Amino acid sequence: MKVKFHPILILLPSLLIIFSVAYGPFLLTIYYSTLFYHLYKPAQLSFRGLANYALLFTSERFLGSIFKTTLFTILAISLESVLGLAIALLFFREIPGVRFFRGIVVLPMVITPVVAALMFRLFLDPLTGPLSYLLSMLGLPSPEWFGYETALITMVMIDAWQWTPFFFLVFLTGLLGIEKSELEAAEIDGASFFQKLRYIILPHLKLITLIALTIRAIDCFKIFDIIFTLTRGGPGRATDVLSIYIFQQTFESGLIGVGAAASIITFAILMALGNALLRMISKAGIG
Amino acid sequence: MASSGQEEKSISRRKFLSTVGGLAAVAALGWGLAGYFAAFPRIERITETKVKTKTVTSTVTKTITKTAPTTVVTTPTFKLPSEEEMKRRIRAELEKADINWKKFAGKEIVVSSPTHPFLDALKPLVPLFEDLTGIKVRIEELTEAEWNQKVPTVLASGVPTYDIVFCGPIYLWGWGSAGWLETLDKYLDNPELTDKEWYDFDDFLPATIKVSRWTAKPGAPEGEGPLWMVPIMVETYLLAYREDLFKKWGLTAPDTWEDLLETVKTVKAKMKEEGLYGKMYPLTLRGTRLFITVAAYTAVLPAYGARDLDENLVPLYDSKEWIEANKIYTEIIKEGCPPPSTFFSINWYNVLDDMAAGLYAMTIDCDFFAATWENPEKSKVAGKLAYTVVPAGPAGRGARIWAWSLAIPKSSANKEAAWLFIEWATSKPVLWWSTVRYGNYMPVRWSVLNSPEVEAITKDWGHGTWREAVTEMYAKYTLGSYYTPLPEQITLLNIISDALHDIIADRKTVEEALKWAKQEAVRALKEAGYELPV
Repeated sequence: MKVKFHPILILLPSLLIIFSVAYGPFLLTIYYSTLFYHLYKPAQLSFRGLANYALLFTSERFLGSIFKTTLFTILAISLESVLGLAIALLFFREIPGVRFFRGIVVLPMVITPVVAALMFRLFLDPLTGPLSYLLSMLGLPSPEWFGYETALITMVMIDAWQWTPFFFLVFLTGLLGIEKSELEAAEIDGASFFQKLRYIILPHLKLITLIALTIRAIDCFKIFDIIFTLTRGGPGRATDVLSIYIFQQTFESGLIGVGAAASIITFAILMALGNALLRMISKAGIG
Repeated sequence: MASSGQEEKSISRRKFLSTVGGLAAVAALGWGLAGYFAAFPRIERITETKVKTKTVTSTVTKTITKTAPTTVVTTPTFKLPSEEEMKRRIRAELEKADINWKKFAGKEIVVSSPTHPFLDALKPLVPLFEDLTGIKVRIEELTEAEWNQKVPTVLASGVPTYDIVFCGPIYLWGWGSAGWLETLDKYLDNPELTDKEWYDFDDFLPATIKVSRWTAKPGAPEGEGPLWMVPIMVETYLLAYREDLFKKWGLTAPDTWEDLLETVKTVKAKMKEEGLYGKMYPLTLRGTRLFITVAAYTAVLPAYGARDLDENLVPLYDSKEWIEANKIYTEIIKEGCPPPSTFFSINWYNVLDDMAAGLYAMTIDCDFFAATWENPEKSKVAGKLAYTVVPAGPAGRGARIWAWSLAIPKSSANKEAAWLFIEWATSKPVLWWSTVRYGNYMPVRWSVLNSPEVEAITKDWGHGTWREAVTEMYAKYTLGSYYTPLPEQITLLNIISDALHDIIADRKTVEEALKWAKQEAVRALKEAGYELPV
């Protein structure tokens, strides 16, 4: 059989660029994860096999950071999806000024996370923040926003403030795709709001929800800016998530090998999570 | 049709209710925010005071007599010459140097810096350098997190990207030991590049040169070995306190850490008596992860004779001295600072802003914060503060310094042109102008700190106490970096932070937390390739 080289030659430059930009660094990270590679001691570079992985899986701090990242992800996407759906249902109806409010709701998404974090630092300040002032007027104490038990929840709250609009947009798009006649028919038959939600709205939104959850779950797993700006992983290790751990190991401690191994493990977790959700999406799509 | 009519009716009722509800919510929020801003009219109140100072002198004198009977904060008593006149004078001063500034005309140098006020003080002066030398300067400014990631990556690559990098002791320990930086003695000693008499290297505050010399061996003391960087801005720590409140309550400035604990307790009791506690707190210190270990903490450790690592780099966090220092430090925090959940979020900028807002009676933090606190346009406490040296302990008195400095990467293709920039930026006239005109505090040269203009600006800060305290600190009590020079020091400081947080939150005793910190630090150092005898 005659092989046509012409198309391959045309594609080659693009393939080379994609490989060098996307896959090259990834393969290099895998290689680094097998080395003792200290940023500040380049002369001590040596091969150490899977020792970096062994070190990580016996590190209380690393395992703790996987747990905190998972917890953050679950809490954040649960809160954001429920709130996003609620707001979408509210603004789905034709009420006065709905277009204006729809515009307002999505504003937080365009704010840089670092700025959002600093805004919340001012807003939640127990001494000078407006929220604590409002609470004090009601005779309520200011919650312990940055305590051991609460700091991670505060981070979830800030993330939810910023990213609930994403779910809102996705759900609103989904809701606008539902045939109005279907909802009207259900109303004529006497269906309650929750019956309409359970039997018409949610089944329609299933596929789009899974896609949104996949995107946000991957994003949440990589959370860095808000936490680095507000707590740097503290108090103690209460918000010491994976990205903070990797940043500190790689750039503060200079342990490139350990940081690379932690990145590969994070990548594996994200791949597993992404694949599971994609499988669910495929099933939902076929179903 | 009938059902449709009913629906229309019910929707309009819902519409009405939701509109009314929405308006009520907006009104409630607006009312609350209006109340909040009415309670904290910081800017407006300050502006009002300023106007009164100019027009109704008798009223102001009366008010001040009540609270702080000493002096009123004044603006500098001299007038700065015009910008053009100053540029001419600085150029004349620079041309007195017996070097050829034009030697590298036509070259371009790239400076890498994190965003920081010192850069704001330097940037307006760069055109002067370009005009003097014919060298073009490009400044790459990044946020702290980006800068921390990018600079090591660029330096490690060896690609000639930057000609000057901003540096500091903790960066030097990594970059210097990795061999990425150029030693600078050869440029300093080259008469073609440096007029040593004009440059007057001995004029730099001694502690700033101590942190810039190092043998580049992890664990070796600083102050010995080649010069790696030249300082451009320095900070050490002072105890600042509300003199008006202290006078009212019959208190004196604490001289020792034990005194500070007692003072904090008394201030707390007085605040409670006057119903101020909760709106105000006796003391603020940095509390966030990492930053908790770099200001006042570096004054309590030497006061109790604590050392961080022994000569074999084994952490000494469970030593008697370290435990003693941590006991009193965390007791002071628990007694005088806001509750832990608030304390853990206090960073340096919160200390700066909240002290200026009058929320605290005392702090131990950067000396140059006084430039903000003593500015009536930025601070509610201008004229109400006094300053003194950091408290002493059984082993004496002292604190670390932090010096932002300029260094040349080994990979630079324009090292000599870069040195000219460093020599220019750290020369007497440029440092003087960047301090007097652009507020580059603290200046790293004695001649600038003691110049008539800087003296005129700062003489009334703390009713004269600031200058006394600063001079005493830099002359007697600055210890260099205090922590052992080690590329992994940030990792160790993070571990110490975690232990301090555990103690302050009552999750561990001091002994338990520090024992844990030592174990973690040993593990981290072994992971980094050190062979420790433990």
